[in-house]
Amino acid sequence: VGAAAVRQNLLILYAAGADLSSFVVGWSRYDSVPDPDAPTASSEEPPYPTVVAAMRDGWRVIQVPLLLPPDKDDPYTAADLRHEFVLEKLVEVATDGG
Amino acid sequence: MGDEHLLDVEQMAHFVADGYLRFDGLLPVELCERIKAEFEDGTVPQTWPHFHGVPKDQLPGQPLASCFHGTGVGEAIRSDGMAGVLQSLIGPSPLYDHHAFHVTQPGQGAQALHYDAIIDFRLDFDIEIFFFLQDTTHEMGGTRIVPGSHLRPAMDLTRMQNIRGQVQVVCPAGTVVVIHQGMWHSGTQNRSDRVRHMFKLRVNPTVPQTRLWDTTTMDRDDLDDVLRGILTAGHGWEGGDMRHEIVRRTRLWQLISGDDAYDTESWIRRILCAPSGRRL
Repeated sequence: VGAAAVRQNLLILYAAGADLSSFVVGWSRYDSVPDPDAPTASSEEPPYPTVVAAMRDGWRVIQVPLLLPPDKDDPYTAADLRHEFVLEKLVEVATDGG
Repeated sequence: MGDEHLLDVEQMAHFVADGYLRFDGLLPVELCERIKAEFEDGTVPQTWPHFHGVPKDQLPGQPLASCFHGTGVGEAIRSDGMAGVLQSLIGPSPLYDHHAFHVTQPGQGAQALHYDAIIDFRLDFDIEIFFFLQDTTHEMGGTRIVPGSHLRPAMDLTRMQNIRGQVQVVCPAGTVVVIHQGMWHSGTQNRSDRVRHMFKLRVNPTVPQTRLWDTTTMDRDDLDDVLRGILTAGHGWEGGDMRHEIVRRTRLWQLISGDDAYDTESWIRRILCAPSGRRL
């Protein structure tokens, strides 16, 4: 009889602000268990409009973005999309038992 | 090349705000075929990044005018349309930086999102010219760009797979897309059964990039409204950083227009306000 093991799928959402209700402006998927419905690199709309909407669909927030003070000498340095939220879903997979 | 080939004020403002311009059908299809053939037969070889065997006057940093003579690429960059683009954005004497043929095989995966200005983020800008040498369908995986991202130096973009407002180039053969060197971009997956060819050329300026374009097109009553409409438009991803982006665009427009007093939202004035000369 096969046993079950747990694997992690990640959804990374970039929001317009630090507020988890602000709208999603970027998204990535990293799945250890491939999900045929996951958005691809060429999808045009985010899978959820907000981080909260993803939570309502069972995604668990495991990291919220650090808020860093502006650089005093150059407060206009913005860099990467900075409101990055990492969410996970745990997926049960069958193993050979061993 | 006559002045009629220079870019106008709206095109220049869009380059400042969006970081790219697209010119459909700028090159004849026959010329595209020649450029592809000259890559395949070695007439114009892939030389980046080592530049082995390249004559000294055609190495990076040498005048573009000394490069690509007698080739389809040379004919393309010296055509009236391309000469107008180069003159308007870079000026009369651009330098050759590098070129590359991007050949994407059927089934080949996507590049991670990246930008090329990792070590050279600056106000004076280079352009990268993408020549799409064949009809490029969505399935063939043309270059994806993130409009408006060019003024935003980043640490590492590779974890970001999708950004709202991203655009994948789908175009007819002979289309030229010109991007600012800071543009976030990537090749996308070729899901077709055809090999995709794209030729990229990067050039650097040697003069201040001020009023090199057709400035007579600024003579219009609605200029302020037109500029403001273009320079303050969002692309879908800016969110709470929109003000920072507009400030950067304003600074670039000051360079492009030669108008140091231009201040679309009056925010540069706020930044520079320091009658005491002291700092917090």
